[in-house]
Amino acid sequence: MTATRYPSLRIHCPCAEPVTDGQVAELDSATTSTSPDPAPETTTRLELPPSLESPFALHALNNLYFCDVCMVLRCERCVVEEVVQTYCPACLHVYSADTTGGANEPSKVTRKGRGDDATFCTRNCLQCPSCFTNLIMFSPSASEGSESSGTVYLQCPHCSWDSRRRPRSLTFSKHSSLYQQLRKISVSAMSDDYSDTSDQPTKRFSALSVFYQQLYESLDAEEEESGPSAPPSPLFSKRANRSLETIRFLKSHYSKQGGSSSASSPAVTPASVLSAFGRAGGVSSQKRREYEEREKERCVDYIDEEAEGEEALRVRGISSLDGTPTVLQQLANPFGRPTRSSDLLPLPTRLRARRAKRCRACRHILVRPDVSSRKVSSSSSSTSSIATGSASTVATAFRINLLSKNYIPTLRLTYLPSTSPAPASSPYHAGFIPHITYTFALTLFNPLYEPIKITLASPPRTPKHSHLITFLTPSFEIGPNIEDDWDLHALASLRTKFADLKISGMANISASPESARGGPNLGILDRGRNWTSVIFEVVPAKSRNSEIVVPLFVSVAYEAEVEKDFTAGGQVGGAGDGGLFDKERREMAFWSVLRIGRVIS
Amino acid sequence: MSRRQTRGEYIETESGNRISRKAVILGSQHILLGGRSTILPECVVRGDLHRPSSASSTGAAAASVNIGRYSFLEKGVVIKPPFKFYKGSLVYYPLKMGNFVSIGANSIIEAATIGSYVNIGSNCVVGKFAIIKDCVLVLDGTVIPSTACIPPFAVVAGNPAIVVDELPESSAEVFERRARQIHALHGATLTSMTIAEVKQSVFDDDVDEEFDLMHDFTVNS
Repeated sequence: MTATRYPSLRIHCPCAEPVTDGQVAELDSATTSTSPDPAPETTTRLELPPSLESPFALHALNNLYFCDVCMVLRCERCVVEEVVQTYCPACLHVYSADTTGGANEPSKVTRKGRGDDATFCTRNCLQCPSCFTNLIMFSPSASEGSESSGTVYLQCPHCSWDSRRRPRSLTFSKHSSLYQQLRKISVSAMSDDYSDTSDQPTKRFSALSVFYQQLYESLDAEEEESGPSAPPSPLFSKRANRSLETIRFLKSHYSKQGGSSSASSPAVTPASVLSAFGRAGGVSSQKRREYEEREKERCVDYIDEEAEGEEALRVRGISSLDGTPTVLQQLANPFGRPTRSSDLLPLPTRLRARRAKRCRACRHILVRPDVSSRKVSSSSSSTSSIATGSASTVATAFRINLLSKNYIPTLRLTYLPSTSPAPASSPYHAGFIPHITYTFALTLFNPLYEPIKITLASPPRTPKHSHLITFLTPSFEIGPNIEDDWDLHALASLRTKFADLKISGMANISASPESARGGPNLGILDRGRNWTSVIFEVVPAKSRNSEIVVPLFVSVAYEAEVEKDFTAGGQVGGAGDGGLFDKERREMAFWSVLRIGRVIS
Repeated sequence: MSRRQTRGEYIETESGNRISRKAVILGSQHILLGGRSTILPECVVRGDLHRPSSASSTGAAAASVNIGRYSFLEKGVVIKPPFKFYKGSLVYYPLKMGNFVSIGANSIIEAATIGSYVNIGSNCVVGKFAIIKDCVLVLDGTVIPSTACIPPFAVVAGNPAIVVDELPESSAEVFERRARQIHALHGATLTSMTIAEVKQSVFDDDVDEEFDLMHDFTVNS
C-alpha cells in the first residue's frame, strides 16, 4: 500500500476474525447486533476486534457489499464469485454468458474450444508483443475493396512494431480468425525449432514422470549394488554419490532428447572437481584412484555442446541485452518462449469475466450483472448515444447490486479549524500537536428511507498511543433519505458553515443552534434532511510520530416496514396500525477506523 | 481563495452549461453539450473539424463533438475529433462522450467514443479512434494508443495504457455523485479552479479517498 493520506476512513469487515471452535456459526451472522442495546454499556462491553488493525480487514465503503439477509457487511474476501459472462476486452465480443445471470447455482458454462482456446479471443484481437497494445490489421489491397486477396499484416499504433519486419515475416492469409492462423504458424515462425506446442503440458508431464521413474529405479539399483561392495571413499558421502548419479541421469536424459552422442572430452567434470578436493583431503591415493576410474566410466560431462544445440550456444555468447526480449515479453507468449526480440510473436488476447457475487454465509446474491443482450450502455439517460448497436457486447448494467453505501450510513470527517485553539494550517499535513484539543465534525449520511438512530462508541483513549477521544453526543438520529441528490444538501450546508466559521473567526460550538439547547443535543453541529454532523474532539498524547487511529463503533437501529404475514396463525386483524405493514425493529452495526493524522511534538 | 471574480467569466446557458470565455471553442454549431457541463478556461474544443455534411442529412449540421451531461473539462483540455486518411484526403469522424465524464487538466482527447462515468486524469493522451467504455478510471499521465479499447470497470495507467486494476461495482454511482458535486461546488464559487482546488476549498478530506486505489502508481513502460 502507499503512504496513507489523511484523513482516512475505513470500514472493518468482521470476516477477518480468527475462527475459534465456538464461533464458527457466529462469524457469518451479525456479530454484535444480537445484543439488544449496546449503547449504554459502550466501551465496557464492546471489545475491539483483534483484526481492527490489520490493513486487509479494513475497506473503503465503496468496496463493500451488504447482505440484507444476514444484515451484515460483506467485503471482497467474504463473497463467493461466479463467472457470469466472458468477453474479450479488445473487441468486447461476448464469448459465453450464463443467461440465468448467476441466479442458479453455478453450472458448467460451456465454451467453444478446448484448452487454450477457451481463454483467448479467437477473433482478430492480437496484441503487440513489445508494448501490449492492440494491433491493427492491415491489408494492402483493402482500400481497393477486395476483401480476401492479399496478405494481411499487423502493425502496432503505439510502438510501430510490424509483423513483417521479422526474420520470418509474419503475414496471414485471410482477414478473419487471426488467432487460429497464429496458432498454426507460431511453431514455424520461431527461428528455432521448439517442439510441438499444441500439447505441451501433457508432453512435458509425461517426460518428467518417465524421468523420475527412471531415476528412482536407478537409485534403488545403486544402493543394492554399492551397499555391500567396496565402500565409497569417506570424503564422498552417499548423498554426494547420489547427486552424481542425478547429474548423470540428467545428462543422459537430455542427450536422449537431443539425440546426440554421449560424452566428449570434458572441460570440467564433477569428478575432476571432487578429486581436487580429494587431493587436499588426504584420502588414500589408492582408494581415490579406484574411485576415479569408476567415475570416469560413468560420469558424463554435463556441458555437452552438441546435445544442447545452437540456441544455447548463442545465448551463452550474448554480450549485450539488445535484441533480447524482457522477461515480461518472453512470458507473455503462450505459444513458446522467444529468446530473441526479432522472434516476438503477436499475443492472443485473454478473455475477461463478469462475475456475480454471493454472500458467503447465506448464498444470497449480492451482485448480479445484467447480461441480457438488449441492454447496451448502462447510462440512464437517453441522450447518450453510446449504443454500440451489436447484440452481443458488454454492458455495465446490474440486475442486483447490493452496495454497502446504500444500507449503512456514510461517514465523513471534517476538521473545524476555528473551533480548535490550534494553528490554522491544516493539521493533516502539518501534523498534530500534543495536548491541544482538535475539533472535528463527523457527518453521517443516511441512505435508507426510514429515519435511523445512531449510537457511536469508541474507547476513551486510542489503543496504541492513548490519544484522548471524546464524542459529545454518542447517540442521535438522522432523518430519512428522500431525494436523490442528497449530497448536495450536505455540501451546501457544510460549506456555509465553514465559511461562517472562517469569517467570524470566533465562533465556537455553542453557537450552533442545535447545541445551544444543551442537554442531549450538545454535540450536534448541524442537521440536514438526511444527514447529521456531530462534534468530536481529539487531544493527542505526547508520543512523537504516532498515528492517531480512532476505532469507532457505529450501531444503527431503525424500524422497517414489513408486510404482515397473514398466513401466520392468529395474526390477522391484530393490534397495531391495522394496515398491511408491520413495524419491525432492525439493527446493524459495524466498526470503522479513522486515521486522522500523525503527531509531531 | 477570493470570492470576487470578474463578472461574466463563464457563459451560462439555459441547460446549465458553463463555458469559460477563455476557452477556445471552434465550430460551436457542431458541438452538442448535454446539460450542466462545465468547460474551464484554456480548453480547446474543435467542433470545426467535421465530416463535410452531405445534403441528404437534416438541415442542421452534423454534430462532430457530442458531450454528455454533468461533464467537467479542466483547464487546457483539448477535444479533437479523430481523423483518418481515406483516398488521400482527411476525413474526420465524430467524437462522442457520455454523461458524468470528467477530464483532467491538459489532457488531449481524440477518441471516437468515451462512455459514461469516465474519469480521465491530467496530462493524458487518448489516441485516435480509441473506445473507452463506461465506468473507467484513467490515471494521470496515461497514454491510450490509437484504436485501443478500454473495457468497463477498468483502471488504466501507463504509457501505453494497460489495465492495472478493477473498479468496484459502486463506481457508477460514485462517479455520478462526484460529477454532480463538482458541478454544484463549481457553480457556487464560479471561479476557474481545478477539481482538486474545489475540493480543498471545502473539505480537507479528499473525495478520491472513496476509491481504495493505489494512487502513487508506477507502471513499467
